[in-house]
Amino acid sequence: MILLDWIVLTLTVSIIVGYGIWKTRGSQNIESYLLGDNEAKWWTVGLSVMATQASAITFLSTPGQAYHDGMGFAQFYLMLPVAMIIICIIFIPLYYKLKVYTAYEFLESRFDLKTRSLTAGLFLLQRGLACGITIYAPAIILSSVMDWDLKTTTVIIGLISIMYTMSGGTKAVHVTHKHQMVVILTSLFIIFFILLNLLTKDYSFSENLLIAKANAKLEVIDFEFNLDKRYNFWSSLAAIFLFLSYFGTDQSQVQRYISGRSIKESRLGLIMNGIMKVPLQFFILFLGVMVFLFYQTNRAPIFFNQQVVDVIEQSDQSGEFKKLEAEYDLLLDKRTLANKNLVMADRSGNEELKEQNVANVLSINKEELDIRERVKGLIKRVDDKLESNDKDYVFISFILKYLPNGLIGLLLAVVLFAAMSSTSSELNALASTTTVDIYKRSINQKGSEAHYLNASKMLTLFWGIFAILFASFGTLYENLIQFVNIIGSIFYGTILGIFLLAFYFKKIQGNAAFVSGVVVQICIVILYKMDIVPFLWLNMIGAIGVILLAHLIRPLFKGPVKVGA
Amino acid sequence: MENKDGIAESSTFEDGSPVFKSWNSWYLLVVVCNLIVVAAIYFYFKSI
Repeated sequence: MILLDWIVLTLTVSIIVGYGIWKTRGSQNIESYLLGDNEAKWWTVGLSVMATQASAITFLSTPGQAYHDGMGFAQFYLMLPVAMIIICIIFIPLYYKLKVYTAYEFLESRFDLKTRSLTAGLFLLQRGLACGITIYAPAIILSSVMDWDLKTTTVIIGLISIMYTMSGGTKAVHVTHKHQMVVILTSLFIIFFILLNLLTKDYSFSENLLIAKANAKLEVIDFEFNLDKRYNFWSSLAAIFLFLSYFGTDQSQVQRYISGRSIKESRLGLIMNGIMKVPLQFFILFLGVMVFLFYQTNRAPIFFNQQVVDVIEQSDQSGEFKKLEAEYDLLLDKRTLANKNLVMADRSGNEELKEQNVANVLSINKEELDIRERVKGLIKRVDDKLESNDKDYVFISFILKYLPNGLIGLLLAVVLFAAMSSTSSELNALASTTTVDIYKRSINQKGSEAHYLNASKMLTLFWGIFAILFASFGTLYENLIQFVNIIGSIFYGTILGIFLLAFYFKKIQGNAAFVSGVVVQICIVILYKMDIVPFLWLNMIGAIGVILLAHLIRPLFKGPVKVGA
Repeated sequence: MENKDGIAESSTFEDGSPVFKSWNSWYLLVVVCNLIVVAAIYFYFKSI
């Protein structure tokens, strides 16, 4: 990274953040601060919803996921468009009708205060933790590859997000989201064309894809019902519960679309997300496949996290590591020949020969994976605390090594923007929920507009500092994008179950909803600890569990039925 | 347009739509676009 990159990085971040603060300065009341005066048009809503979901982890981890495991992760998003439609039909009209600031306000009108407080509390718990990860994830990767200090990186990302979220509230979040998303999408397209240009000219594009397919990187949908597989078509059906809960009941998303100018603008924003999200996810994964193809003719590191490699090379295992590297280099020669034979077989039109070569390429790929596994074992032998998963480093190490200067600065700005866009939505939502559902409702009901506005700003600061502190004490999980989804899956099922009770089961009252919510949440935590089912299924189990249990215990709580929605 | 509960109807626009008159058409568009994208990618990769 040279001076030009620093200039591009600094200018891009300061112009967009500075413009966001300047444009939204002087929010005078709580409605303006929390709902942005309901001025957002549909494209602002759509881009803001996308920016909130797409954290830095999305851009750093996803291509690495495709590099190692292929494009199967795309299945996770298959049901997202369906969730968007359901939210447009059911959730949005209710939120607009009740003119709520937060999703949880609705639950008090339907059930009671304790059920509202329970769901708000569950949201604050899971989103507070996730917010720390949102900052921590890019910080640890950037600090590792750029040699930046981890704590300083964490604090900088957190402070910038706090600065504009605290200053302009929802409006500032929307304004910055729009510009951040434009820079992010443009940069991704630039990378795509650079990668396209970097692929070997000896083979056509479709021949390159044939190599990717032979290495099992293009298996986008897997119809086999297998609970052991984290991502397949059937688990995508379970993921719909996660999406309904995330987009329908998570305040960080709800706040994006209830601040739309009208129901129409909010719905169109979600429809935009429903149309764009799946292709965008395929596109980001495909960038990972292209990086894989690039490394078919260029030497890929045996392990992508150079900082860990440096530790191994200075340890007593360095001899063993060198042996593995030599074995790996020999394999790369074999791989080049196998790829060439595969393309030649394809050109000859001999299907039998092609099949043989596909099998050969796949077996070499398995040998490569075996060497990589042995490297991971070596890392664990040197120091059990060293991170042996390098998925999150694949894309960023490619960017830093092969992209031209200037563009590196822009891409680092993209990573920071992605981190900030999610963080700002989360801080905005955490502050809104704490102010509206906890402070204003249960602690101080007699404050003035100015008092609650100041409280919201102070709570934005509080949650920002909480997230920075959590990020500072965090440890790297197996895969960062999965960690965020796991935290969500533990809590979202229960929250969604309570909302579904509110929407569709008018006979269920507050006490039954509250007790079933608490009991099921405890069971979900136990289930997760026992590691019986893949985490995505926890969403479905939680939601259905709450509904069933509420019906079972309903006779225990007799009283007048309250139907508020 | 609002229904008897005061909730905006899900099938019509209040002040005109940029493209379609009915919300259901928009929802159908979301489903069709995604089906086309997923099917195109799935079958293209399968055909290689």
